[in-house]
Amino acid sequence: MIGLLGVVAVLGGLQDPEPRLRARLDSVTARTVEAIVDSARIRGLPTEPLIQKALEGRAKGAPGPRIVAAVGILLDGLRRAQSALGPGARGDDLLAGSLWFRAGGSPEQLGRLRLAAPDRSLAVAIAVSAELLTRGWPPEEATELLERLFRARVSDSAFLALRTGVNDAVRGGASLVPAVRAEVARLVPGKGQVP
Amino acid sequence: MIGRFAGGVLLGLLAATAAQGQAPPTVAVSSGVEPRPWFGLDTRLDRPAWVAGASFVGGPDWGQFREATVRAGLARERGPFRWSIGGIGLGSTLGGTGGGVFGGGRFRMGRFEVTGEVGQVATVSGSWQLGATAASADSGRKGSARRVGHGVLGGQWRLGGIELHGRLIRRSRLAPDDRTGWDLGVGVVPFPQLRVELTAGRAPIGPSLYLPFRNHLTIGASWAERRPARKPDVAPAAGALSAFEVSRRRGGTVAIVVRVAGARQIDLIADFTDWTPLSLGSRGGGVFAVEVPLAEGVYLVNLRIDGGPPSVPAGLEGVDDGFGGRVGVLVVR
Repeated sequence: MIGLLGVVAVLGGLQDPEPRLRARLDSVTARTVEAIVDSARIRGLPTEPLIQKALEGRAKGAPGPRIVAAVGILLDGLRRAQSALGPGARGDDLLAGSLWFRAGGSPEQLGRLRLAAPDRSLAVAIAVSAELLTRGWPPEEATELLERLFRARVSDSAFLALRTGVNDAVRGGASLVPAVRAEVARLVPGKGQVP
Repeated sequence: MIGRFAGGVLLGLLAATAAQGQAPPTVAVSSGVEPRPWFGLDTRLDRPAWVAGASFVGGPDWGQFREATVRAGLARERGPFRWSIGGIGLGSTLGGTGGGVFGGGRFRMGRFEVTGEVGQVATVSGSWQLGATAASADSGRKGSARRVGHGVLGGQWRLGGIELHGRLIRRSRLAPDDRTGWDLGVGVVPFPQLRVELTAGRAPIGPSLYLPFRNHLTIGASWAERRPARKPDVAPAAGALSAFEVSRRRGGTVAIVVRVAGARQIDLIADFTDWTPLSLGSRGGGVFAVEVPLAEGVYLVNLRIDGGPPSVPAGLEGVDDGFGGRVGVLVVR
C-alpha cells in the first residue's frame, strides 16, 4: 500500500505543477508566474497565495505585466513576513504578514508581534489589524496595542469582535482611532491608552 | 380537500417565514389558455438546508384537470451545486390521490443554470380504509393503484431581464403520447416581481408534472411576490452594499448571506473559488446566499453585483489588491 502511494506521489510530482495558471493566463504570463512560484517553493514559502494572486488578476482583467508585478510584490511580502515571523511560520500567518506590509506596517513591527506571541497563530489578529491600518490606524500604535493584547492572551474571536465594535462605532459617527482605543480598553481594561 | 390542504400549507409557509424574519417564499400566480383557461398557484421555499413548496392548478372545467401538490425535503449546497431530496404529496390527479419521492439537483455557471429531477409517485383511486378490532388493526384501500415515475431535465440562460428556458419531461406508465413532453419559453422580467412569459410545447400546464400533456401556446404573466420580511435577518440597507454575513454551519461549511437592495445577480469571486465566479442563490427581497466548505483561515473575497466590477463586501474594509482596486479580508472561525 505504501509502495502504491509512493508511485502515486512520484507520478503526481511529474504532472504540470500549476495547470490553473496555464489554463487561465497567456503563456508568457503563466511561465513568468510559474518561475516566481518555483522560487517561492525553493525558499519554503507557500505557493498557493501566489497562484491565487495571479488568478485574481486574471479575474479582474489585469494585463499580464501587472499580474506578474503583483505576484512579485506578494512574493516579496511573504519573504519579508517569513524573515520577521521565523521559518516555522504558517502559511496563513505569512499571508497576513504580507497584508500587514501592504497596509503600511514594517517587518520590525511584525517581528515584535511574533515575540509577544511566540506560540500562537497571528493570522487573524494581523489580518484584522492590517484592515484597520488601511483605514488610518497608525502602525506604531497598532503594534504597541497588539503586543499588549497578545500578552493578555486575547483570543482570535475577541479580535473579530474588536473589528465589529470598531465598525459599529465608526458607523455611529466615531473616529477610527478613538474607536480602536476604546475597543482595546474594553478587552484589556486600563491598557487602551496610547502608549 | 387537497386544494384546501395546499392552500393551508402555503399560508403556513408564509406565516412561518414571516415569524422567523427570513426571506419569504416565492409565490407565483399564473394563468393561461390551453385552449381552456386555467390558473395556477405555486409557492416554494429554498433554504440552504431544506426545500418546501405547494402548488395548485385548475380551471372552470375542473373535472378535466386539476391538481394540488405539496413537497418538502432536505437540500444541500456546495458551490454551484445544489441538490435536494424529499417527498411529494398530491391529489385529485391521475385519477386519485397519493404521494411519492423526488430527488433533484441544480448547477449554476454564470448566467447558465441546469436543473434535473427524478421521482416517482403512486396514486390510489377510491378511498382508504382503516379498520381495528380488539385483536388486530389493519389498513387497506379500495380501488386501483397507479405508479408514475418522472424525470425532468431543464436549463435556463439569463441575460439581463430576459430568460430563455426549456425542459424535457419523461414519464412512465402513462399512455404513449403522454410519456414525453417538452417546452421552450422566453420570459421577460422588467422588474424583480413581474415575469411576462411566452411558452410553447407539449407539456403539462402550470406548475404540475402529472396532468395530461397538452400541445399548448401559453401567454401568461406571473407575479412573484417577494414581501419584505418583518424582521430582516441582516441589517437594513445602507448604500449599494448593505450586508455581508458569514456563519459557520455543521459539516464544515460556511453560509454566506449577502443583502443588496435591488440586485438581480450576485457572484462571489475569492481565493477559495480560484477566482471563478460563484453565483449566490436568490432568497428574494435582495437577499442572496450560498454555502461553501471552508476551513478556518483568512481569505480574500470580492463580489460582482449584476455583472459589475469587483467590489468589497459590506463590513469588510478591504486592502489594496495590487490591481488598482481593493479586496475584502474575510476571516473564518
